Amino acid sequence: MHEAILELNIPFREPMVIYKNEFQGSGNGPLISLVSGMHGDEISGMYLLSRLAAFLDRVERGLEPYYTLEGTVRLIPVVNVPGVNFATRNWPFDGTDINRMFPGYDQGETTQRIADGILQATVDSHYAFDVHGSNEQFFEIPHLRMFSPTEEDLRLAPYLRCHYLLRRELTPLYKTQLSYQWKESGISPYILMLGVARRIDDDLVETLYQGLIDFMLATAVLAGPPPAPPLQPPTFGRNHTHLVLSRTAGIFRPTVTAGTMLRKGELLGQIVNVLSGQVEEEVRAPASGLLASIRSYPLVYEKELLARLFTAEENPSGAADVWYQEQ
Amino acid sequence: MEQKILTIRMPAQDQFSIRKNVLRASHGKPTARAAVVSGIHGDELEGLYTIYLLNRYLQEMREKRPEIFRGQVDFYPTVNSLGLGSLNRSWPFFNVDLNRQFPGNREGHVPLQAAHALLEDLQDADLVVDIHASNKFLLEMPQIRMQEVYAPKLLPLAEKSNVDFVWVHGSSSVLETTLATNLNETGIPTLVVEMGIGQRLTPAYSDQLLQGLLRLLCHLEIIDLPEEELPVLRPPRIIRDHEVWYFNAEASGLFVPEPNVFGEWIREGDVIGKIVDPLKGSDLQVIASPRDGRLFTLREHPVVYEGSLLARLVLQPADMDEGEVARDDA
Repeated sequence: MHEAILELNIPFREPMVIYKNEFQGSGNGPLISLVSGMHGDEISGMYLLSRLAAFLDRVERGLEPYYTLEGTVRLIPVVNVPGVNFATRNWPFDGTDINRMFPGYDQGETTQRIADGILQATVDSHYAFDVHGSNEQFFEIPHLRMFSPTEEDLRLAPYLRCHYLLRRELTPLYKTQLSYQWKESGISPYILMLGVARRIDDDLVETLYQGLIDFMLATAVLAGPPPAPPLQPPTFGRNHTHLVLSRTAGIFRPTVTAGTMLRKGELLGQIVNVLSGQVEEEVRAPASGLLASIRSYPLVYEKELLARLFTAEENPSGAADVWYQEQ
Repeated sequence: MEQKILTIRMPAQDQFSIRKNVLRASHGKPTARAAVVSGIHGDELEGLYTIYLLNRYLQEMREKRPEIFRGQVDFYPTVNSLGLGSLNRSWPFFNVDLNRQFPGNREGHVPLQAAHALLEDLQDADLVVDIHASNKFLLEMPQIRMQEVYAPKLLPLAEKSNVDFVWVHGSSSVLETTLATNLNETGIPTLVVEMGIGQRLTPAYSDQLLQGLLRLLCHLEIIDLPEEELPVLRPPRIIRDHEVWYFNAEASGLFVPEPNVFGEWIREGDVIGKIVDPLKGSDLQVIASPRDGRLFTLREHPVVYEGSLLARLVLQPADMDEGEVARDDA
């Protein structure tokens, strides 16, 4: 069922509508909401939700004979409508990051109204997903981010087939995000992070698509064949993080791909001087562990983040919780 | 004396620095240290001109009357030099708001390092003034904004700053990542000035603030001007959150303010502007004020969405009694 959750007049043209696509099952199963497209350039998440919509439509029409919908699935694939249309991450008019405007305010600035609309449209959920991609500069293997997960959250997380679970520390910044407001409202928030902005990675989307169907089976939103046996993903936090920073500026050429296990000292890539063409730095793994993300945008500043690596053992130097804050 | 507090190489054989200029007393140990910061947002230029005026004034004073200049003043006019040079409010390339990066991090990516370097460099200051200029949308009368928790320390300073208003407001989590909050939290008094509009200069406001800054420097004994040479200031009106009325657009279109409403006292029922539809030739909203008050914020950028801020009014105190009038004129 397509339904407008927020309509907003746009200067000099037709109104903008944020839609939800809701599938209501026959039983008393829980309500799960999935939101994507808060950033207009994070396309993989939108594609993931559109795949789910097509699947649920087939379930509804009896074309997926093994599955029945017991609960309700609410999909909100596009929040930043003009951002998606103009291929910009933030609200195009004033550059506001909508995911910094929560809880929002229905009488406030435009993006506060949007934030309020999204929160109000999802606040009755039992489970809620905010699906993001990385920004343009970084490739992230699919992972799940959580603040203070409950035991139930940790029991369900493995069904999603993410490569790892990241425990984020609560900093002032996160209080203005949708997921924090869900948590405040008593909903378990799941932040899915995958790929890189501005493109679709079919393999990642396929993995999470299967993972979300399993999650819905495990939470009795969906009835059907038993989900794949879940594999507990490793859990990392700030103390397991190793950051790889550039020591020079230039063109970064990686020699490994994200998701691989690296040994300490192994070559990650090179930084080449633009003018001379000389290799100015050989970038090596600072520890043995999982290469979780690597720079996709090739130009780098000095002292710039090139890769993030997680180790099973705690990092004694206690790496700071340094991230691209817009992620 | 020019110094660089951070230099970072960029990919295309280029580099940028955060630069400061330090003016110190020619003789003796400086009495106190003040710092004036601007250009954290690349679209805000009013502070750059204010710093120019104060910088020139103090250099002249130091040369001609060295006995009067007894302290130290550090100027950081162009913190986000990359943004200032490219019409970007944010930090280009990283696309982040530098004033949301504090306290920063020595090991973080470049904007975090910049925040960290600036915060470190201001650590032993006795006063910091961070000059902002609204944004490209809104024109603001000169004002200082502070969180209520810091008001006991900051209000006596703000009252000497020659601004029209001091807005004492509640806390918000967004502010926890600003320069001012991080400094005030560690006990370094930091005043945030908001005046004028982004991407433009309002020279009269810089002149006005200059007088206040000189007063503050005297208060800190950084300069020792004789009383008769000190500027005579009008104390600001102190505003609390409940005394501010917001006008948010109820339609999307082109906002056309009435002439001569900015800075003026508005009476209930007065029209401050309208939102029009050029295609239909019709008015989408005529904005009449529901209250009496002074219009201290006005939208200059005419394109509005539903919800866009059009103006702010500071309400006339309903029960303006003798005491308050006295304080207003003190």
